Amino acid sequence: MSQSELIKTLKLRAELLATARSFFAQRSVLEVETPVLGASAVTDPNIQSFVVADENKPPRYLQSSPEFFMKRLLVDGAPDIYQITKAFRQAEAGARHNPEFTLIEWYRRQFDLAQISQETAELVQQLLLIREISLPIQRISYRAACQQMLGLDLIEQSLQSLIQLATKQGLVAAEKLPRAALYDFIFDQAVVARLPQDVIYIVEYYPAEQASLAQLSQTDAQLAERFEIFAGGFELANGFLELRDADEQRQRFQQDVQIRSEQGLPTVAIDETFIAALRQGLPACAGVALGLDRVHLIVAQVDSLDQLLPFSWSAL
Amino acid sequence: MAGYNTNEFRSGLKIMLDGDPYTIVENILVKPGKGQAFNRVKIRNLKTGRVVDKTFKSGDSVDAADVMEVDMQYLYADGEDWHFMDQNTFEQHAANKTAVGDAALWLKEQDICVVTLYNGAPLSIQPPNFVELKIVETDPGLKGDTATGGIKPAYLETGAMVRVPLFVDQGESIRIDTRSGEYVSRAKES
Repeated sequence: MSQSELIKTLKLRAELLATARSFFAQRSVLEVETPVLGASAVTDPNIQSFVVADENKPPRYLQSSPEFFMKRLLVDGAPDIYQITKAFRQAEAGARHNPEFTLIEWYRRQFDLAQISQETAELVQQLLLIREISLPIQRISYRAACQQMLGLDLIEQSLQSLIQLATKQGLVAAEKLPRAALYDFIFDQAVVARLPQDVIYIVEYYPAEQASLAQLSQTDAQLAERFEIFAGGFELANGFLELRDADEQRQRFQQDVQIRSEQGLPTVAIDETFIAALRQGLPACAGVALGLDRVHLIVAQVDSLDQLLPFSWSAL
Repeated sequence: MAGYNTNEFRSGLKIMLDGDPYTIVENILVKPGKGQAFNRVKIRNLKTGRVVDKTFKSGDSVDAADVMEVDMQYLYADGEDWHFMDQNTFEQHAANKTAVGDAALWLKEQDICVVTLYNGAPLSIQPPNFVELKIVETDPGLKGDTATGGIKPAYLETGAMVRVPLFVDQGESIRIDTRSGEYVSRAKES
């Protein structure tokens, strides 16, 4: 990176941070900090945490997201909160991935999915305006997006036809994958790739298999109260109407642990402190994580994080 | 058989898929924030040369293809096969018509080619980027016509046809870019 490119990227990052902070200040959302080194890691089989040695004590884990700590703050009575923090995920390195990346994560009490997703899209819109990139917001359900781009409703397909569809789209050994992974592949390959890039899309109501930490829909058990934001051809944010049922959450974690053992992935213990906090009572809330580096890519109009980050992962 | 995990994927890696050997041209990690990671690759079939898009679940393993690219000297053709020699081991390999393909147009005895061996047998031949070949037949050039842009067909000792400037004569050797099949210049006097 030349000196002028360096200064350009540093200044743009500073503007993005300042704009985000003023966005939340205007809405009276409180900025907080939570530990980056936690005593537990996420069980999600698709996320591998970095393990950090701590002399002869049990190891610590670099947080793959501040979600659990922020929810514990909410349980303890915190108001609407946001955080701009580094998050860490092993092996996620590529043009649009860095194993160490910056998240803007926030939680809004009493918000529903429509409110939190609208707010997220508005923040993205404001951040893009820093360089006069003005994109409209469009809301579409996961189902309708599939219908439009694929001409069929993915959620209604049998496992067999999902496998056939994925194979046709070039997935090798599709028959070995569960529904959720097939959804991931087909949606990315056939839907996200075809979404117009000059629109901020709110895609909402994901399949129940992909609920993660979201509540299932009250009106349709096949759907989860989860949304994602897409712009520029890729994912920018992921949010939930947060699951508050401790037993159901524990059950989902238990499932993760099971899948980990089946796939030979590192064993991860369930974060019982988090479960205990849920049991104590998480207030009704919606939350979202926005990848700041991804937004930076669009605003800077470059293709790869290498052109953006002063210290790229491969060249530390 | 040896295998590779997707996290070892990089361009140039040789893998097996559906019974055919492939080389990875491009490898991209695709990973939703919540969800399954995939390696999206462009791979070239080493038998057909066709490039296809495929996706592997990250963490999966694939068999390695027993494919090696070796510099070899082209020796001669016997009407059926083309014969090459590994200059380090002096081992000789016979490549058939399928393996040689269009490369036959540019093969000149003693030139060094890249021979792709699959399970020990030649799978494809890559001629040098530039070769010098003799024109065996072309229309006579016109005197003084060295500056105009006219071109004419010329037939080379290998049977290839190349379009050459009008001033180039039968019996001369010319330099050709084998990647485009285009005339570059007259060969240097040797």
